[in-house]
Amino acid sequence: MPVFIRRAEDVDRLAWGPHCHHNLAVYLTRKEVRALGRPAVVAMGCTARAVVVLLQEGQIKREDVEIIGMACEGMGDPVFRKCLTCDVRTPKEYDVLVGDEIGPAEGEAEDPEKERLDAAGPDERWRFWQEVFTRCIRCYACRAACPMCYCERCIVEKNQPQWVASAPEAKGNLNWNITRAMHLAGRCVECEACERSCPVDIPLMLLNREVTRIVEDSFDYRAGYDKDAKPAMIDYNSGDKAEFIR
Amino acid sequence: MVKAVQETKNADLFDAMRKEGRRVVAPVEVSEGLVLFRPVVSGSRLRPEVLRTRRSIKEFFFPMTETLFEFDHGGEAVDLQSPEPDVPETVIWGCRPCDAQSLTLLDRVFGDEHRDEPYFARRERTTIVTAACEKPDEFCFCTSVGGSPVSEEGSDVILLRQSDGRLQAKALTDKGKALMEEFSSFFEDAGSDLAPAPEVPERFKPAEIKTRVDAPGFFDGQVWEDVALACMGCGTCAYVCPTCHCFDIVDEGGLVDGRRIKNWDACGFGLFTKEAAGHNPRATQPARYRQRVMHKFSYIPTRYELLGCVGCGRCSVHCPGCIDIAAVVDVLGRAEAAK
Repeated sequence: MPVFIRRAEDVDRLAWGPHCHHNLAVYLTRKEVRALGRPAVVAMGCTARAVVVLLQEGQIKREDVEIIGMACEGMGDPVFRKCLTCDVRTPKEYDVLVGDEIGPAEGEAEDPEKERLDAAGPDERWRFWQEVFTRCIRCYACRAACPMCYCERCIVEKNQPQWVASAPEAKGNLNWNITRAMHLAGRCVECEACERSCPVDIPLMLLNREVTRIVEDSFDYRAGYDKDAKPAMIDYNSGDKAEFIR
Repeated sequence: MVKAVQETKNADLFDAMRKEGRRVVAPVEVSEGLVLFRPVVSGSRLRPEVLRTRRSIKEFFFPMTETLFEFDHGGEAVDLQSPEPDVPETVIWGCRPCDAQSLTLLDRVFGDEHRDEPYFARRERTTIVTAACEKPDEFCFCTSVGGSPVSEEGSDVILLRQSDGRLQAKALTDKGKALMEEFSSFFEDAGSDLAPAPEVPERFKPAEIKTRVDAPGFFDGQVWEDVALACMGCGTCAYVCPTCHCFDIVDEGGLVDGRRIKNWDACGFGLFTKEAAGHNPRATQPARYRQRVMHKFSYIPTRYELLGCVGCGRCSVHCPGCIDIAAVVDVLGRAEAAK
């Protein structure tokens, strides 16, 4: 499990292996972790991308975090599908790198569920998502595990007015999950911590990957690669394509 | 009453029960690898062999969401409507002894000082048929919290593996006996001895844990930060847990009408104890995680003389931060008293 080492003599508690799939950037915005002092975060590529997004969004200053980059050939046993096509096996941002630099993965990953949804029409996709989200139990594990969900007061916690119905029922569930996907547009680093944490196996990444693809196609932007880049959904650029305006 | 039942006939037995108006709830595969207790319908993929469903049986007595009443104050007087209770006669078939044991605590929580009538209406109309465990795994720790893979507590019928491969069905209550009599064509003579019960190694003694966590100064100790910084503050552990029972009551609706709803809640959420003026008595995640452990292993034992944990392991399996509650309790038991 994720550990927080504060004394040099505890360093043997650290581990590294295929079970270390957590995106530890999620802890960088937690106040009880910040209270411990300047953090060094063990960061494989996807984790480092999340740290970059936090830097871009002003949640942490570069000098206030030490990034221990980890060369990573893939997490999970069997290895996660996303790792087969990873292009950040050497993190893009780090202070020190553990392990030799590795180039991008050269595998191919079949994604039959996404292909099926991509080929289906909007009505069928809508039915699919309505049906899938009926089993959401509003545990908010997706939100808790996501490094990009750092709002001190999430939209579902507001009740003047109640933006999202609180009950784990179809209407509120659909609202919650789509709202979260939209709030991640241009910010999601595809670490998949959300899908992995869902206790009812909702295929959240099918939606997050699609939103990511739309942002990439529309704005030629992917989150977390360049800390000096301006995030697509925050920045106005007069060169932005305007084909979606019809 | 002791009989035997053939697992291969489960689908037919459930059909027969449904024809007699019962709702049969059993472990059903909802999507690949996801097995939940669901009402059985024709075509349900029954998965009785799965050790642990994702969630417990508590939602059939304490629903995830429940409308308490509807209100409308658009007219001259406030109009209140209680929803018609919809409580079918139900058989839960194939929960585990840890699931059934949770009902002993939930009955006290929902019955002691104020009786939650809808809860007890569901309890009265439900027969619990528990399947004893044959292959506990490394997350199970029922034997550390007063349970066992073959415990009969909370059940109306228990199913135990016989050495001839059939399941022995032992009625434990009048309700269980009545069910077996009503569907007697599916219950054969038992006539075989039982397969040996599996072992679940004991990991800690709850009385010792309680003494340790109740010791002066332990509450404010550093150990809580050590064990709980990884907690991300979701509600997964509380929601998959058979004994967690906290809820939130909200009014939602339009300008003049709406409903009062009781929803599951979790002490891990930051909002759980946040007060209207903005103060939060459990302001950090370690303080919130401490509440979970103290509630289960100290406060509930003090109040009810029962444990607040049945050792099912679900929270440990599903925690996004990989927190294993049995490991945490073990660390607490070995921690120095006050630091």
